[in-house]
Amino acid sequence: MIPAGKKFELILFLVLLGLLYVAIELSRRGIKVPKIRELAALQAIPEVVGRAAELNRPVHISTGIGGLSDEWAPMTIAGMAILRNVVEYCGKLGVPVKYFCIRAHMLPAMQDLVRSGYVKGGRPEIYSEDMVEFIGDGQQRALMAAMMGYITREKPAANILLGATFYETYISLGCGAVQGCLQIAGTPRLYYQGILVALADYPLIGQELYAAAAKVTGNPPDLGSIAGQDYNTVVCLILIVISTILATIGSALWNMLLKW
Amino acid sequence: MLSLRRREICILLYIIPAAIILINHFTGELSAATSEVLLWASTLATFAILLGVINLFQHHITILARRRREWPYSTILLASFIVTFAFNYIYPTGYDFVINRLLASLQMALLAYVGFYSYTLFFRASGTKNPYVLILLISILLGLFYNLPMRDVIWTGWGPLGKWVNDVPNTGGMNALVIGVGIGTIALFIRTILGYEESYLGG
Repeated sequence: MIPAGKKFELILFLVLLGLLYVAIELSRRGIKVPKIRELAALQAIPEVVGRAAELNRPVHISTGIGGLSDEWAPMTIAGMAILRNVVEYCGKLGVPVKYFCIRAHMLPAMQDLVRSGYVKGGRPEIYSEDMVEFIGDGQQRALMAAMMGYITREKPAANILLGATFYETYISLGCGAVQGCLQIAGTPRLYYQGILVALADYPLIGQELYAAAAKVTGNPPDLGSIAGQDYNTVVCLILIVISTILATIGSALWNMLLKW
Repeated sequence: MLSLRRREICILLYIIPAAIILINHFTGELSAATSEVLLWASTLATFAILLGVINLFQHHITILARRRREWPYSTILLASFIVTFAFNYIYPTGYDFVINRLLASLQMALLAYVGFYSYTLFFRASGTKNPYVLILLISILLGLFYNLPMRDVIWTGWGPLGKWVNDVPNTGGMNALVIGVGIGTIALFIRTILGYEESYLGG
């Protein structure tokens, strides 16, 4: 039924899934709701949007090149959760937003997210279809050009980049820094941690993006899933230590497990 | 069926293909169904592009109709779209010219900006008051000296040091990223099948 080389993988998958489920359920039932420390980037959202309202300038938001149908989906979804909160603040203060959509399948979801953000903010009349603009499916260069052009021409008061970001991080944050935007940026992608620290006023380093997304929703299941991810990380760390010891002493046990 | 709400249908549409793909991954017994599901995904993605193109035209035609400040850019974009689309079907040589000569050059020019911002990062980072920046600056210096053609003339230790940084901390960091992405994906999967994750449904 289960071919060789897949049994250990399946057991590990089920263990990780089980731990996550337990953490989510414990949090949902209020037995163990994890607390997440204050994150400067989240606390800065009212300030950043308030500045945009004072300057009468828009806010540029982006989830980067990642979509909802690839391995970067968790990052994109975490970014969307925070951006929903940002748009709600924009609705309260009457600030327009701009989002360049690079994944066609995300277009309806992002249009809905922005529209409902303004509705929740109490200013549905501000929303216009122009706020979410499609620029080409997976066309990273088009996204970079669109971001650079928009930030240079419109000079948004704030530039918020949260999700699975790639090269466009350089363009967006670099251009935003030149134009004097207040910048909130976060991605768990390793290559871009340096530029986040250097150019964003409020960076979310590494896995902080997931924690921020859970904190901003405030839902116990979301908070529980963050705790569950921590438990999973501990399991992975234990496995790394065990496999390192086994490899160092020359044991074939680990290889046998992987081939099981 | 009528009692099912929109949200539950969406979750079912997520669970069924996910289950097929997962069972196939671990047993290899649903390969035909998996191929079919992936084919459906491609078909749906194609229709999504159609939505995107409609949005693109709506946006730029509105700009042209209202004679907004950026109307010349919209004219260029719409003209480029129509010409490239037409060339693809009626004049393949022209299409190749547009893609290989015009678009490739423009894309390379745009990528040069990435290089520009990367190189100016060092100077921007120098003015930032953040303890992480120190680590960044040290890494930048190490990377710069490691890639210098004359590095061994300055100090013979740059080669081994740079190689160690690249092979050990960098590889460790990359592996940590892969583990983080994997765990994040599993968390997303369980949140979605339990109905707690709704961001992908929009508002």
